[in-house]
Amino acid sequence: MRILLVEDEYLLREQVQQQLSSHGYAVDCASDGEEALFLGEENDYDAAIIDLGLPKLDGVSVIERLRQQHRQFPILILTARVSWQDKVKGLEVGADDYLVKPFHPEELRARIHALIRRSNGHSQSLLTFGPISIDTLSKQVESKGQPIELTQFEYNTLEYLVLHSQQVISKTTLTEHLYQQDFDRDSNVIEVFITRLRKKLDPDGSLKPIATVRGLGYRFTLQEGA
Amino acid sequence: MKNTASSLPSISRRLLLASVIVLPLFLLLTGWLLNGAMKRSLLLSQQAQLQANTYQILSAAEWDNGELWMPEVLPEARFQQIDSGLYGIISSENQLLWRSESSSMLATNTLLPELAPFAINQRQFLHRDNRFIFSFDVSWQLDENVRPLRIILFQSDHGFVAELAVFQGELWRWLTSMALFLTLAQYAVLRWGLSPLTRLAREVRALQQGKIANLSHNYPKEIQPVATNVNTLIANQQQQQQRFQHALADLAHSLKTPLAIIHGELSQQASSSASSMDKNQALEQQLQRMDQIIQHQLQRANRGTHSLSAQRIVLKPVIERITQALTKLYYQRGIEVVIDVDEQSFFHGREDDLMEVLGNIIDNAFKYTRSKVLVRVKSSPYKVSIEVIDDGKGIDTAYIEHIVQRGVRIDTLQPGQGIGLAVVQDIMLSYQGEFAIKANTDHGTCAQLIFNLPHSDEPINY
Repeated sequence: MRILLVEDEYLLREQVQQQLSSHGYAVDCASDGEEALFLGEENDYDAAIIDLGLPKLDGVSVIERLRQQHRQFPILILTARVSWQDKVKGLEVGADDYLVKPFHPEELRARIHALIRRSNGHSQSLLTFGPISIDTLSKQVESKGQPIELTQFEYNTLEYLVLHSQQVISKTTLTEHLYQQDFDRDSNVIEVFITRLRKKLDPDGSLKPIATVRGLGYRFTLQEGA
Repeated sequence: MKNTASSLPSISRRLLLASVIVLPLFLLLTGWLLNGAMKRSLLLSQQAQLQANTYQILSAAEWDNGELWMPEVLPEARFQQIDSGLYGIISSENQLLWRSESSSMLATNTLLPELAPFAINQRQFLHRDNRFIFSFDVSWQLDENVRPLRIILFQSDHGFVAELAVFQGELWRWLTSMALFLTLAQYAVLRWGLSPLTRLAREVRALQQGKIANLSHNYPKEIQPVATNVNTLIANQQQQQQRFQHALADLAHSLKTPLAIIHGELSQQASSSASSMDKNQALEQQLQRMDQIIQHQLQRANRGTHSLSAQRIVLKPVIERITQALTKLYYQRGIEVVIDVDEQSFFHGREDDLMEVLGNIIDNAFKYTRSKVLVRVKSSPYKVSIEVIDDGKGIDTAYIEHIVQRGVRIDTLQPGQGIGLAVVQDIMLSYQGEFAIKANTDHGTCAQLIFNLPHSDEPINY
């Protein structure tokens, strides 16, 4: 999943970016409101974390303008401001959640995770597709009750596909959501991830969880709860 | 504390009181002077008339063989009418030489009053015994002798008294009417003249009650500087408050961001090493304590009470904003929200204080409720009561007092800073309001806030 992180304090920004990256998120960073607005308008993020006290353009204005541009990804406000007036104002202009500094990194990850899951229509963190179950909180995958070892990028690819199950996801889209902005991307590596996932999830080929839609992309075919 | 201002008379009362004392005195003096002038005028007129009558008598007098002869009919007809009120005599050396026919019924001794001794051309005019007395002393040349003559005229003062009485009656009637009219006119002029002050007082009260943000600019030039200065004071106070709030926000940001970084570093160390986790626990606790102290004290410093920035805030929109925001935050739980608020119910104070109180109370209800949150407002002329009720498991009564102490949380599994209700307590105290939590483990919790409203029904009139 690709996250936009907007925080003007360098050390904190680096810290949060590192914490999120270590849990498999691709993180694009901005240090002021104008840069945040530009990145938010240009890229399709899975979620954004925005500080309110930003230079050049404040966080509330950034959120307001992103929503006016119909950017619908979930937004979590991360700020030192604790007043209810600020909280309500932030939520009214379009934020979806609010976290006050200082915060537990685990709480931040859990909230971002919940926001992404809910924005894709999944109310629970444990997703079940027939014999395959995916715990999006602990990032554990099982098939027929047996744990399956996946690399971080394999898991991220699988998670994106299952959260957008029944949708056709192009290689480009997958690439954009798995890597941060400045990463040197190679779309062929997606094919490698897909191949590996098919082998690990469906060794005997009976399930066919990931279908290739020629010329368009990939689709996770299993029904949730089935 | 007794209002000492009410024991001092108002400006209009002072002016009216002064005029009620001064005006009658002035009118009394005027009446007395006019009365005196009228009397003198009448007396002069009387004297002049008697003098003229005297000259008539003198011109009619003749001497025949040394004896005074007067015609039977004198030009002044009243001398011929018995008891006409006008009587004339001529005497010489205290001997009565002639008396008018009108005096025929009077005793002779009444016709020779005591007067000053004879002196040629002496005129005497007296008013006594209900009559005017005019005497004229002449010497009449008779051949070689000179005869001293005193002509005395008597005029009843009834006419004079009656005329004076009529005048006095008219005078005092008109003066009294003028006094009443002037008093009323003065009262009306005072009311009109002081109306800008009345309007100023009403506007200041409306300002205090939050009905207006500034005083108007169309006052007379004597008062406009007061209104202008009050508006300047309000603007300065608001700017100062804004600067203060911005400074507090910057301070919060400056303190909390480094705390967040330290927090993050400790978390990373804890995740990398089990031994670090134990060591860092004490640091974590102190960090949390620092954060709570910062949060609490910054919020306390930002609290305002009854200042010129207090406003009249309708409650329903504020409650709806907060419940909608919380519904978004607690979306997954599908909590039903019921708002029972009159459209007219309002709060008098600062909006950020109201939002802080309601935000914390309603957030607690959302956290601990099972399925439903009810917000109910009841208003009376001087108080407004806000109840927030949830249907959660309730709070043990033994811990209710503990809740309002900063830093104590009953349910440690719930996210939150733990100082929300202590902040509510602080704000309610600053507004001299009441805050109560009624709990029942079976039926959920009811948090009640009661605010006082300003009294607006005292009339302002000067």
